[in-house]
Amino acid sequence: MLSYAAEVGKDEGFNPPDAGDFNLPPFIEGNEFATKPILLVFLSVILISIFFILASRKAALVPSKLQFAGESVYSFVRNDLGREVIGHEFMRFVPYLFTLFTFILVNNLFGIIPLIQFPTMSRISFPYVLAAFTFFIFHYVGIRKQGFLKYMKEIMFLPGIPKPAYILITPLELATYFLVRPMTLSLRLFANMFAGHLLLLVFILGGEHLLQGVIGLKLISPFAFAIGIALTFFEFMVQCLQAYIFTLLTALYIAGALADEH
Amino acid sequence: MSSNEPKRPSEDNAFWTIFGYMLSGLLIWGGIGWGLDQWLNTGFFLLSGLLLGMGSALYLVWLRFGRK
Amino acid sequence: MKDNEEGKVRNMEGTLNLVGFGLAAIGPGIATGLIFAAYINGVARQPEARSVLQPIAFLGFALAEALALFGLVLAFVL
Repeated sequence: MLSYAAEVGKDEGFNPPDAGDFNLPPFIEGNEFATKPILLVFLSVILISIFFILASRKAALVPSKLQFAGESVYSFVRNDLGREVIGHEFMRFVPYLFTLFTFILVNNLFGIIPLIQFPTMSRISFPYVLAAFTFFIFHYVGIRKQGFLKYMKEIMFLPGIPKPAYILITPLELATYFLVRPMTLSLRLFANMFAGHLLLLVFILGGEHLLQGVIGLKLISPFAFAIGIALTFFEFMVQCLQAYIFTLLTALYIAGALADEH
Repeated sequence: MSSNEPKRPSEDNAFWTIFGYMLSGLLIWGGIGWGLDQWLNTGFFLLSGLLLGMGSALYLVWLRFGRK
Repeated sequence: MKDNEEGKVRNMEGTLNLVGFGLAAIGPGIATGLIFAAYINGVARQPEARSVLQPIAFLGFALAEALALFGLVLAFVL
């Protein structure tokens, strides 16, 4: 639909950032897996591991600053996302929720950390995989808890409505549980990260381009940079919020699968 | 330590649930209507499918959240 | 459209449907804001009214959301 970027040469004038800017070439020639997003995923795993190992190594009754930071993240996930949402069986799911939250948060924050500045989740494969994990886990939990037939019956047949209405309602319920839930879960995260990164690119690259123009344009460029910096803080908020929402919805879906009746 | 009931009120759940229902209503019935249009070379199934999907999604939302 | 002679105007392709969707989404956005503002106001003033207000707020939200999603779908299929 929007193909303006495909024909614009990179020779002169301002090239607006587009989806092609997310296609980073591999840094080892010929090895298509050696790209920046993959490297960032490994980096995030290493960073999270180091942080939480250091934070929990010398656990003391009077916590150090590092231990306090680690424990407040953990207790946030356990209490606000686990216990409040899932209920009395929450302890089984805290490891998954905690992994999900820290992984998404760190990978999102890569979008505004200087010198890295690429949110990993703006490549759609990563949100797809995370949403697939959540999808399988909450269906597995529901089937284990209630048995396959009873679980499907509970999804498909809402009690207390006239029989002909099931023709309308049942496809909606099935589509919601098996199609829309994983789709919206992954697309929400992806679209937020993609759009945020694009927004930052527009203002920073635009400001840089204005700086090379005539004197009048040079005077405008500080405003573009200022908006870019303000949007960076806005992005920080969005990135934390998206990590939270992804984890919260995972917890809500698990809670819904565990609940005996609606 | 552990409580028996989830304590959080159902607002944040309901918000996303409603959104999902509306979206799947449009996708499923609108998709069926679109397919019928392609198959029979007509033009009105898509619109009626969308309206039907939206109507049934609203009915489902009313069933889930409206009646007490 | 290709560049014109001076190369000043960059080519802009795309569909006006999406602009239309952007305009159409303003109304439901404002509506959702008003609905939840009124709901929060009501619950804050009278917390025991929550069970009465909640279905009304959600149905109102669903109706407003219906219009926004109609705009989204029609922007793609028309």
